[in-house]
This record gives sequence, structure tokens and C-alpha cells, in this order.
Amino acid sequence: MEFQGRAFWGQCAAVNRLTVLAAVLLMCGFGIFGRLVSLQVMQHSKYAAIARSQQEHTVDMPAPRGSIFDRNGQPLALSVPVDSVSVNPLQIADLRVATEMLGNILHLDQQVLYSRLQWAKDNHRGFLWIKRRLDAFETDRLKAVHLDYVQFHPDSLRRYPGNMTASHIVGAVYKGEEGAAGVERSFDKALKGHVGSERLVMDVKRRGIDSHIDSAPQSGTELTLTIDARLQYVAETALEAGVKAKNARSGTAIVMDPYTGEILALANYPTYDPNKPPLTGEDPLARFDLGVSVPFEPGSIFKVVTLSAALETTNLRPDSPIATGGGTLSLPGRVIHESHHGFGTITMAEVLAYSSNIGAILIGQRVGRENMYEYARRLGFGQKTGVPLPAESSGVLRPLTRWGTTSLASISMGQEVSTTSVQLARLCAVMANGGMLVKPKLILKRGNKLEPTEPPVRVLKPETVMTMRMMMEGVVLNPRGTAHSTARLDGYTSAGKTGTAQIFDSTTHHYTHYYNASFMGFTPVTNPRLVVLVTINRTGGEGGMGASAAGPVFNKIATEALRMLDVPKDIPENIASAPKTDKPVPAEADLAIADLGGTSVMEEDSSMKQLLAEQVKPEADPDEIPAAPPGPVVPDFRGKSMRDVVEQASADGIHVTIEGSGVARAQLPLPGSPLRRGERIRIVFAR
Amino acid sequence: MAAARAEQDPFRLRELPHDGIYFYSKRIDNSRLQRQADPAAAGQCWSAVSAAAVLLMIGASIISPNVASILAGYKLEALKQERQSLIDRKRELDVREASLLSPERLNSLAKDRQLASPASSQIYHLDNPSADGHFAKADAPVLTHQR
Repeated sequence: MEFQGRAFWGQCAAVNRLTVLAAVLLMCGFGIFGRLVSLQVMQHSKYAAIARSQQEHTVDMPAPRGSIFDRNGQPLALSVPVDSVSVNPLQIADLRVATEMLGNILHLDQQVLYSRLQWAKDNHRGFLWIKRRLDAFETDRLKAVHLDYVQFHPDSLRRYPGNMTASHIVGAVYKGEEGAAGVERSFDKALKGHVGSERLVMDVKRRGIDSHIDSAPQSGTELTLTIDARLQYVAETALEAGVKAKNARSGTAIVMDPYTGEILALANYPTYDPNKPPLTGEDPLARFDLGVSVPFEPGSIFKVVTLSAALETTNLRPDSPIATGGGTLSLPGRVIHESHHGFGTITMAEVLAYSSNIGAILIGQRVGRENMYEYARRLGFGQKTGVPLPAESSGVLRPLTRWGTTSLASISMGQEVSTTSVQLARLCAVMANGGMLVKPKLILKRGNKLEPTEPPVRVLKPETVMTMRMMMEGVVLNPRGTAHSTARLDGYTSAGKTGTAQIFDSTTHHYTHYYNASFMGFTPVTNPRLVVLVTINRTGGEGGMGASAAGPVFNKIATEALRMLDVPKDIPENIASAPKTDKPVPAEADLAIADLGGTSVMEEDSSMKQLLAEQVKPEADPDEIPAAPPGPVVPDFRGKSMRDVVEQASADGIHVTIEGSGVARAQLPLPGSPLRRGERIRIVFAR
Repeated sequence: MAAARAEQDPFRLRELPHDGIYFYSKRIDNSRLQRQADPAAAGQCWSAVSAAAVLLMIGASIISPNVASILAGYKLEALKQERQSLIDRKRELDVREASLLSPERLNSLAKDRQLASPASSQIYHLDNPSADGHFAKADAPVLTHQR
């Protein structure tokens, strides 16, 4: 009995223990379940975010800047991926060692680098850029050393494989990939890509498992230019040779399709390499797009406008006699002298062929002020051509209300009006294509989409243009034509007009004996394929006239262009290969008389004053230096320290305005310019 | 203690503490027993194996797409990186190719090999056969000695 009782109570105790155990387990289960509910339901978003931050990383998806190609698909500008490098200074144990290592690999000044690292560490900065856009060699070397505190960041570098070829058209970038000049700037928005964003899921070893694109990257639009890189190179080399041969300062050459306005080549000299950033002390002219941004007085080339207007508004015809007299012309209050000698009575065609200034003035007087202004405007002068390049100048064509008594005479022969080379090329295209004014075109395709060509506008009657073509052909074919000796092409007919305009000196307010020598022409005459315009700036002497300075460059460019474009010859070889004379005939007849009174139209453009001063600035040859103006002149402060400048200025009693610090790099007015009473000299210092 | 227990009852086992429950062991000789065939048990066994296999397959079919997805993810991301690096490499090579084909370099190479542009009189157009029947492509460079 006792045994049975103990057994019963023993069974009860065992059941209780199991019950308690079960209850505890159940409570644990409830606890776990509750915790799960808390973690996975109530605090779901919080822990999901923490998990995401550990597993997911948002990375930028590169969108390269659009490439630029020439019309044959040759790349002119490309973006290549590179790395930029930063460090976490707080993780660097030994700054000296890190400085030496980074300095050697990345070719950095170790002293500067050490001070930067020290400063960042002292200020508890966890991020410091060390070098942007490493080259491949530097990247490989730095990655090979596996430094914990070094971080690489994907970046992009703009490369111009043609170096200087078409640099003024393609332009350059700055601050990474912001368009700074040329097409890079004009089409910056289209060329720029939009960087995308991607969430990358990674495992514990930082290997990608999955990715989700938040915003897709959009690469920049690829642009295909109308430029032919081969022809561009020919134009650049021929222009450079022409400028150097004449000891000139600068030059421009343009090759254009007369029917569509497509610019096949646009060369400027001096030029620059867009792969290299601007350097202190480099020639500022090198980065000027002279052909588009810098207007000049065209000189005799403008007689084409005068004669075109005459053909349309008067009864003058190519064989109409023009009595140019013995080389002098009396105007109200003034007598004009032909620059070379009198031509007597000559035909209108001969006025153009010999480039008679008096003849042009007489014809201009027949045309009248209103018609002359109307036709100059109609042919695009005084207004921008719309070429898609930055800082295009419209040139200067004064409104009729501001014309003086001799303005008509001056404009008739290309003075008192300023034009850009692109405007002149367009004028030549009008003559070549039958009287249609085209808009210069530089973009052939955007992406794969052809850029539409704006329909040209008729500005001259076809019969007028046919007559003008014939007269312009006389400039080249007529043995007494100004361009007969230099602009004739072997196997091809050509027509054109020379121009030689004196350069105005804005400091002395007089024309100098330096010239802007130009030639515009087209070939072949019957079915023109090309318009070529050449301008050589700041030539001197008889060899600096339009025919002798610009004519040979035209010849070289046109010959090569016709060969490249496979244009069939239109005249027998033996006719064109007749012996040529090197002596320009007649050389000075081409020169537009400058001092007709009044000031130059170039003075009205304030931005051109400095450039004019640069153009008339004497160079090494002392024989070519014009007589120095009387009175005090501006001293040369360039290269001096600020202390030296201030001392010299105070000793000479000159007022100076100082900008920047370091060494005097530039000054305005330029050294040697006449110093006016009370005038301040602005001096820019830089290190 | 053990001796006392053995004396008490040799088959009695050690009591569980505080329960008052005693277990006894008894040696049974079952060497002469023979297993009786049970076809139903074999069927049940195979049923259990089949059920386990089915469950395993269901589990595998549920899990395997996820595993495959993860493995494919790894491979996909690796391929994406490779693709991007190849694109980058191609761009570098494009620049290199463009540099090699630049007119400036071709011109210097041509000069080194004494090649020059043909004179106008040396060019014959295909549309206009020359008198002796020879043709030359207009833009093909010709070997001439530079003067």
C-alpha cells in the first residue's frame, strides 16, 4: 500500500515536471515567435534598410561623352575611362612613407603632397583627392601595391587623337569634360551623357550577386562633322607654310561645298593641341578661331559685292567702259590716288581682273548708297552666318545713317566694312552655286540621324552670277589678272578674287603697312565643287599682297582637295601648265587705299582693339618696324615682379592697375604703344 | 550498497531517486525466435522512402531555382564587369587606332618612305582613259622621289 502510494505520487511528480518543461518550451516558442513578429513585421523596414545598406551598394553607371567624328568616320574626339585616386588620411600610419610612395608612382611633388596629407590628417579629414585622371601606367602601378587607404574612382578623359588637326573646330574641354571651345562648347548639352545609377547586391566577399538599374545611363550624342580630316590636315599644313613664308602673324583657310554650305576644312594658324591645357605665356592667338570670331576689313575681295550690285541695279555690263583716268579720282573734299598706276579706260570686267580701286569706286557710285547697303546685307555681311561655333562675329556694316561722305567709296573697295572669313567663303559660294546664300554647315549627323540642310536663299539672279563667274575667272585666267600667276590650277578652271587690306592700328588711329592678304576662289568654274578662302594676316611688302601671299595657299589646297574628291579635270593639262611668273602682276593694284579719311570700322569693335594691336605689333625684323609714334610710350612690364613694376611705374609717373599676384604676365596697353596723359596701364600678374 | 541491492533482488535495477518506482530487468532468450515475413511492413517502408524522396524533390525544386538564380547572378555580374572592361578597353584602342591613322602620322610615314602626292599630270581618271590605256586611282599615293 505504501508502495502504491509512493508510486502514484512519483508519477504525479514526473507528470508535473514534464508539464512544466512543456510550458517552458511553449513559452520559449511564444517568445521566439513574438521576437520574429517584432523583427520581421513590426521592425521590418528598419532591419531591411540595415540589410540593404550592408548588401547593396549604389554605383554610378558611366555615360561617356559623345564622340566627334569627321565625315569619313575618323575620330576627332573620344572619351576614355580612367581612374582618379583619393586617400583616407586617417588610415595612413606613416605619412612620410605614404608620401614617398604616392609621389613616386604618381609623379607628384612630395613636399606639397606631404603638407596636404598632414593638413588633412590634422583636420580629421577622411577624404583627400590625390590626383585626377591617372594614365594607365600610373593606375597599374598604384593598384599593384594594394594600399588600404587608397581608393580609385572611375573617371573619364577626353582625348583628341588628331592632336592639332581641326582643333579650332572640335574645340576642347575643361574641368573634366565641360565644353570650352569649338563644337565641344556649342554642342556641350548634346555631347554630355547622363550618368546612370545602379544598385548592386553583393556578398560578404564583395562579389556582385544581382543588380537593379535605378536610372539607365544615357551616353552623349555622337556627332559627325562635315570636316574631312585629310583635307583639314592639308589646309592646315598649306596655311602654316603660307604664313611662315610671308613672315605673317596668322591665317585662316576655309574649304566649303558651295551648294550645301558644308565646311570641309576650316584651318587657323597659329593653332594649339587640345590635349594640353592652356599654358601661361602661350600665344593667345592660338586659341582664337580667327575664321569665325575675328573680323577684318576685306579689301578688294569686297569688289565682288560692288560689281554684283552694279550688274543687278545699273545698266553696267562686263564690257562697259569705266574711265579710271590716270590713277586719281576727285571726291568731294578729297582726291583719291590709285595705289599703283592708272589703268585709263578699262571695261568693268577688267576693273575686277586688275582690281582697280578707282574703277570700283566709280561703279559703287553708280550703284548708290542704298543699293550698296542692301546688297551687302543681302549677301550676309553685318550679320552672323549661323555657323555652329561659339563666339561668331557678325562683322561690322554700319547702318546707312552712319555712313560718311566717303563711306560709299570706301565700302566699294572693301574698307569701312569688316567681315569674317566664313562670311567671305559664303559670298564666294553664292558666286559658285548660282546666286543662293547658303548657311555654313558643320554638323553632318547627330547620332545616326542626318542633320537637315537649311534651304539656301536666292540673293542674286542666275544671270548676274554667271556674269560674275566669268569676270572672276578673268582674275585668274587674264594674263594681267591679279591672281594669274599664283591661283591657276593644273587641269582645272578656277575663278576668284584677291584682296589686300591694310591693317588699322587702333593706337595710332592710322592704317599701317601691314596687310590682310586674301584670296577667295572656286573650282571648277563650270560646275564648282569647292570654294576655298585663304586669309593671311599681317603680311608686309609687295610679296604680302593677296595674290602672292594667299594665292599659292589656295592653289595647294584646291589641288589636293580636287584630287581627294576625285573631281574630273575640265581643261587640258598643257593649258594650265603654261609657264607661270612668280612676280605678282600687278601687285599693288590689289591694295585697297586705306586713308580715305575717317576712322576704321574696326575701331567700333572694342574686342578687336587688342587683337589689332597684336597684329600690328612689330616682330623680330627691325626693318619692318614702322616708325615709332612721337611722345612717351608704354614700357614693357612683363616678366617683372610686382615690386619692380611699382617702383618703375612710380619713377616714370605712370598709373598702373594691378591684378593678381606673382610675375607680370600681360599688360594693356601693350609695350611700345603711345602713352596718353593720365592713362592707366592694366597689368595682370600670375604665378 | 550494491551488495545489499543484489541481496534484495538480483533483477531489480537501481531505483530512480525520490520516485519510489522500481524497474526490474529480466533476461529473455529469443535466440530461437524467427522473423515472420510481413509484406505490409515492406510496403510501408517503401511508402515512407517514396514520401521522403518526394518531399526531398519538392524541397529541391523549391530551393534549386533560388540557388540557380544566385549562381546565375554571380555569373551575370561577372560577365557585366567583363563587358564593361572590354568596352573601356575598346575605347582605349579606338583612340590608339585613331592616333595611328591620323593624317599627321600618315604624312610623316609617307615622308619616311619617300611617298608624295601625285602631281596633277600624274592623275588619270577612270572615266577618261588615257591614250595608252593605263589607269590610276586618283587618291592612291604614288612612289616618287621627293626633290
